[in-house]
Amino acid sequence: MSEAGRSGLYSDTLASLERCVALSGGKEKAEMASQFSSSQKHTPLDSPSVSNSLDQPTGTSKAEPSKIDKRAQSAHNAQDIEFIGYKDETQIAEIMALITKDLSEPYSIYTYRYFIHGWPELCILARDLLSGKIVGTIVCKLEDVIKQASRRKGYIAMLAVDSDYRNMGIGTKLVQTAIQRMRHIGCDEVVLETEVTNKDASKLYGKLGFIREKRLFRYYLNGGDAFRLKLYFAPPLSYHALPQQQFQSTSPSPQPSFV
Amino acid sequence: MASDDEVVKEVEKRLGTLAIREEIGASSSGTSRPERSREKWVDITDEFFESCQGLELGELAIAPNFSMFEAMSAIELMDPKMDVGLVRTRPDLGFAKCRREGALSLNYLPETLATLDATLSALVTWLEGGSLAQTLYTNVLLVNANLVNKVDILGTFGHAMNQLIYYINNIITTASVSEEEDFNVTNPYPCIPFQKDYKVIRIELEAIEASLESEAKMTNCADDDAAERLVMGSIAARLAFVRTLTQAIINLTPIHTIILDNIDKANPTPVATFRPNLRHTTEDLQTCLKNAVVMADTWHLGSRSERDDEDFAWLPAFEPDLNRRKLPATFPRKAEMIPRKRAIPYLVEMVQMLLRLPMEVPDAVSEPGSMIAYVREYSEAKFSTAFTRSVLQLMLFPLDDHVLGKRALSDLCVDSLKNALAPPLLDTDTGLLGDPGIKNMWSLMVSNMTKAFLLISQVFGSNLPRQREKLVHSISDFCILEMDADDLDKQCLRFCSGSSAPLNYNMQGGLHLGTFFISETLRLMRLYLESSFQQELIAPYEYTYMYWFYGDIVMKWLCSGNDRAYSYLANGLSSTGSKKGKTSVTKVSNKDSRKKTKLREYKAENAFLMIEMAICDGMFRAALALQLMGKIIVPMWEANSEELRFAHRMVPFKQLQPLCDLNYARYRRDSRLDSLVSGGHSQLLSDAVEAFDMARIQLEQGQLSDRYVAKGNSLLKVCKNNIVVLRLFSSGRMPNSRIHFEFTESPAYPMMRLQ
Repeated sequence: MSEAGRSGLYSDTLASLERCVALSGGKEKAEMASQFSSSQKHTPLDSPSVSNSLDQPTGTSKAEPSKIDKRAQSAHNAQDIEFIGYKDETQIAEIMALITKDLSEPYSIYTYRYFIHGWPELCILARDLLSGKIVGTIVCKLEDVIKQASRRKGYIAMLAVDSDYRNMGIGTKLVQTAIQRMRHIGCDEVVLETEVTNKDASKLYGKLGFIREKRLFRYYLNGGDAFRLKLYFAPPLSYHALPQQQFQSTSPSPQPSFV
Repeated sequence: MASDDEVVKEVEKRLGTLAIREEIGASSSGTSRPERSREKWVDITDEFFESCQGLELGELAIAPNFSMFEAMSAIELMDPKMDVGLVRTRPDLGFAKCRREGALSLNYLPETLATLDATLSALVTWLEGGSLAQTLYTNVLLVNANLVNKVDILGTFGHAMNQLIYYINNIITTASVSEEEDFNVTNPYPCIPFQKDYKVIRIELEAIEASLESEAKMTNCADDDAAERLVMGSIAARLAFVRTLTQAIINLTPIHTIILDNIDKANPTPVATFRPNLRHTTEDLQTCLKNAVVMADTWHLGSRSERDDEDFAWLPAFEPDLNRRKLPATFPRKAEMIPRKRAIPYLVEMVQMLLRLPMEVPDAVSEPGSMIAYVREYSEAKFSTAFTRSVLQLMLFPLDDHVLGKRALSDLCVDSLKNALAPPLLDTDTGLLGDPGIKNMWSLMVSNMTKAFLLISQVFGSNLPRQREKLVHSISDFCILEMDADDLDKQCLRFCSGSSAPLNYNMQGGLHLGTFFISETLRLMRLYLESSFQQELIAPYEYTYMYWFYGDIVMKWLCSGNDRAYSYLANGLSSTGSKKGKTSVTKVSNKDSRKKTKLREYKAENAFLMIEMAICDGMFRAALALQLMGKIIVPMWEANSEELRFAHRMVPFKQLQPLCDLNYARYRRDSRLDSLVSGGHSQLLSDAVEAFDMARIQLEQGQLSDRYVAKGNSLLKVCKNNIVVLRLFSSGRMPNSRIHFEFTESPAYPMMRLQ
């Protein structure tokens, strides 16, 4: 394993340990630990930020004007973005940085590892082909809702797009890709929570057919409300539907779309 | 596979956390090493960092019981963004330090006044969902009230506030009409309130108030002292406020019985009679309100900080960090206190809300329906809180299901059935209740009906999202009651069909008991759907089937039920003359009067339902037209995506399935969707305008009853606005405009806006 990869893996742990050692009175040890970690410290990531995280309120989603110029050296359109699967822990630091940027309260490393190690196939990344950096990510999980009825639920835990790369359809593509994967492995519904005031997230998921199942009062630690959104691929168990061929949409277009 | 213990040991061995954890413990406790430990300590720092390099990429020990909950609750110790314990607490915190420094003296009255107001602001913050540990109990005086031996302003006020806090906490916990997100019941100091008897506190407060007021009224003081005298009067108003509020609670709710029962759960107090003392409560609350108004006018006389009030740390009595060690491990968060300029006026509103109770409740509880309507209206008021709503609940049902401690709710339920339907079952001439089977079924139904109404009475205390959730249970309860009533009707019919039957049951009424419950179910469904729109849960691409369901199913059925009940009651009214020989004239007159009131209610409700049905029709047609025009995009993963959304929206009403097949095919058929779509968007827009216009005319020309006037005015604005917007679309002059929907005027019907 390369030094760079290893540093991405351990840097946060080591930083915490340094503080522990320093607080326990071991100044020399702390210095030693500091030397060790500084030799392996990875370069700070290039200003990624969060468009919306679905479990926590976020800051503004609008790109700052000063950051727009950076796009001159980066991808200009969706063709320059590739969507890749999660590979290994070397990507975790970048994923965390992307998601953590605008969160009012950070997730612990355990949260990331719980989702990403548990369901690596449901962690999808968007990468700028020109700069090589990760500019978007979605993190999901699966759970059996009613085992007897073989009901499975997909859960979108986090979604983030770098503020410099918004309005390019990256978020929508990440969600669509994750949903397709979840359907492929037998999900009957996809669930997530989003902050009521996060209009961008509501718009994105609304366009994809998620309905607001309920509102959750004072759901977040900052006192904000959340919407629980659901996308259904199967009728409720109690529902007596007509045969599939009789279903029709009220949508006027013969091939309904999302946009 | 390794056991959990083995996994944990392995993790600790690999990461050396055992040693580190001990070091952190030693560090935070202020000692270098725990002396009691006999273990020989070994420094493994070097080995640890060396070992880190030996780990494989992504190597992770996973314990099977480490679920999402644990993962998301976990914090990284010693991370300043996550670990609340990282910042050391000042050792010289608290009451002892304040007393030592003489910071709690009463030498400077504006500071005393500010301390009282800050404590009342903390009370408001607590009532609005804050925790005791971060609000009221950051006041060292309250936490250490037992150490204040002197009977003085701050000492007695501390005891009085502790008592009030204890009463409020018990009332809210017992009433069970709120959820954890509405009110935080956690108490870090549960033993504080037992330091003084409430009567002693009251006497002490009265004595101090009298002394302050007499000094404030002294006329032989120099003019320089006028300001000080004003502050004295203001302080007296605060003490009187707390005293009268506490007294009102004691008069309005069985708080002392509740406390005794909570202390000794094994030996509950024998069921005693408690009836709210309305007259005394009104007097107490009027005095309380008068003092609250004085408080709102004088809070600015108290000391001021250079900055805003913030956490009141600038006052000697407040230590925001006092209870940090009592808080659960969590992210560091600065507790925000509601400032005095908002908190004190809030108390005026709160007392006004409480004052409504003794004045309005007795008239609102003549039957369960009106009682629920009142509870709902009271809960929706702007300044309704978990506290005021809980007081209402304990006033309504002080100890058991006896409303105001007087009449059993089951009796009110029976009266309600009599007034709405006058069921033959309750007519002694029919002899139906003489049949043991029918009697049992009747008793069971009344008992279930009582429970169902009790449950609804509790629903409206919580926040709106929780109310909506709980309404689903109530809808289910009433659906089941409808089925029970239907069985009872059939049983009565069988009984009457027998040779000994004195009358034909079916012909007698033509209206069955089930009708009553189906109407109540539909009213609850209406509330549920209205709440769904109000909470912005319905997307524009769902408007078609949701407004169709709201208007064409729920409201139409309710209208029809009301029509039948109206006809039946109107007939009964004209035929009562034949029975006058058996009952007194007064009784018949009262009965007729109740029936006439009920008839007026049915008529008024139906008139408004017709208006709303027209608006629903307008919304349905407008939404469909906008879909056809591409102004509302319907997201579709599959051809049945809309049907799936429809089916899941109907889940809360699944208990209605035996009565009505609520499926998508029916929606398409009954709404004539295909035919409307083939007619094109122009016709739909024109029909929608017509529907809104019909509603507008009825709103402008119809005579709405008082209950509906305010709602009608809002709907009129919606109709007028939407007519204009739809005509613009219809004219084709706004081909590129986008549309959005604002629920600013009405919770259930949006104003259409062009962008």
